[in-house]
Amino acid sequence: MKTKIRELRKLHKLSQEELAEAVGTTRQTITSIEVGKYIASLPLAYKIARYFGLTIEEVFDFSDLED
Amino acid sequence: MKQYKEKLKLENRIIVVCIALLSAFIVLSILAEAEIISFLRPVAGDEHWQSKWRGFIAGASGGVLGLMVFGLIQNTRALRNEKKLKELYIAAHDERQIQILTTARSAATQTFLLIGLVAGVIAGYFNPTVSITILACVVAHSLISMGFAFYYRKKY
Repeated sequence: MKTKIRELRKLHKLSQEELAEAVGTTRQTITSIEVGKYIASLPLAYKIARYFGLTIEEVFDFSDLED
Repeated sequence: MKQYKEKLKLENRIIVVCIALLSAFIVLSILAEAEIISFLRPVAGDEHWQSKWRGFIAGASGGVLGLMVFGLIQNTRALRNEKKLKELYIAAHDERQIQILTTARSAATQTFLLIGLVAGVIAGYFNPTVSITILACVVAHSLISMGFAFYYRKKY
């Protein structure tokens, strides 16, 4: 699944480690979500989106699921 | 985080009891080895087997004791330091890590059952006791897995 996390991090000048700590997960999980190897759970997706002040749909691209 | 702190405190109490029990077991085993007490000495097998068994028990007890002491130190340090507590909490609750472990265990279970079944069948041509033991393990493992699957189907 594609996400805008990397772009949002760059925009907010945040490291993966800092984002991970803020949303209560590990840096490795953030890396895996960014590269699309791991799909975040609903609570984690919510936490990430809320951290950037956006909705889940604005951070995560669900177009793959619409087929 | 408060709940997690309570959980760690409870975990520490359990670890301390387990360390005490395991230490007592190790001391008793040493006393048995020195023939000061008569129980806890292996009665089956020849001297060679008994020696191997004692070595295994000593190694396993020492290993488990070491792990418990490590866990106790880790928990105690986390309880005294909020940063370490948060790190420990994240490490224990990271969803990707949990998924990796769950998937790995599931794959290991399936592999174990398959290998066990094949090994049990092959062993049947050479040694009935080994074959029955392996197949009994496979059946017991399958039944336990089915039991848990039934429980979780009801739960979720």
